[in-house]
Amino acid sequence: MNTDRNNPPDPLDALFRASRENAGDSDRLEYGFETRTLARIREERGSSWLSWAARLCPFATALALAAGVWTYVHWDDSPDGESVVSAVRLAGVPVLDYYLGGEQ
Amino acid sequence: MIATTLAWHEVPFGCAADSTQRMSDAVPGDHALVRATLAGDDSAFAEIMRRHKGRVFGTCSRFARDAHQLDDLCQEVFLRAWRRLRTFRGDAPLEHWLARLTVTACYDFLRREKRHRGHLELDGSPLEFRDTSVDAAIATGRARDLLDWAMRKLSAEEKLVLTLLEIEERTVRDIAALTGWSEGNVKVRAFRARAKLREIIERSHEH
Repeated sequence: MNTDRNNPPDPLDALFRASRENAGDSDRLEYGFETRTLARIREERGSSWLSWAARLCPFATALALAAGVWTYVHWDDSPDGESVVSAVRLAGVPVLDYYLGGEQ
Repeated sequence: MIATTLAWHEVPFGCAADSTQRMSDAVPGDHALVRATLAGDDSAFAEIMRRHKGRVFGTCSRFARDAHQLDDLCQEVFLRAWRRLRTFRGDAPLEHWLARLTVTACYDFLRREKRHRGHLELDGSPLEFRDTSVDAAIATGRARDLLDWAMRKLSAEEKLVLTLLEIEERTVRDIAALTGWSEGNVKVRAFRARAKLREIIERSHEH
């Protein structure tokens, strides 16, 4: 610290002083610095989307599997082997009324 | 706010918080640039870098050993700034916020370097500095090299506090604010680091 530095002079102070005066010149490095850094930022921004997509992959897979299982379990296996949709398409509204518990 | 609807270069001046930074009506304040950056304007962040890179380079050059390291370290500072820009509250100048980020990045750099060197070097000393006196180093313009050599034997905390205090000539209060250490802690660390550095240099003459 800069207090109580009496005689003899501390060689460390001379070393620090000389080092301060010998500061390097960074002008050459500063040239184009913004462009280089922005390139890294854009790279990071792009990779962050990819990393999010990669993180979401297991959830998307699990969701697809769950949807598949749900569809399999709730598959319409009526005696005629017809699905509700195809029955409605063929017979029209009366069939829909039948499924909805309306008047037959 | 005006800045959210116009690009930063179209904003005649920033909000009230920018009043200290208004140099002219045509120059947007740092806070306006921050808002524009957060709205996705990369050119605003380029302007922030252009304004503050001088100070960042100045501090980082005290820690990096070559041009490549210096460039990397400065880029790291601004990358961190970009990632954390949303945490900038705007109640202090952007310069102070960036100075804290710079010191934190330099500290992390020193710790990484220390770990890395620990694997590579047995004693961490280039042979040509073992017998070099302080006077001889200064006379031959190699004071900085000798100091770098001796400082490499200090811990990251010791090197950080000595560099900020003795080479950057910052006050104890400044260093406490930049590092998050208490002022007493800064003084104790600096005292011990200085004693250790003196011992390293004196011991090097005994060989």
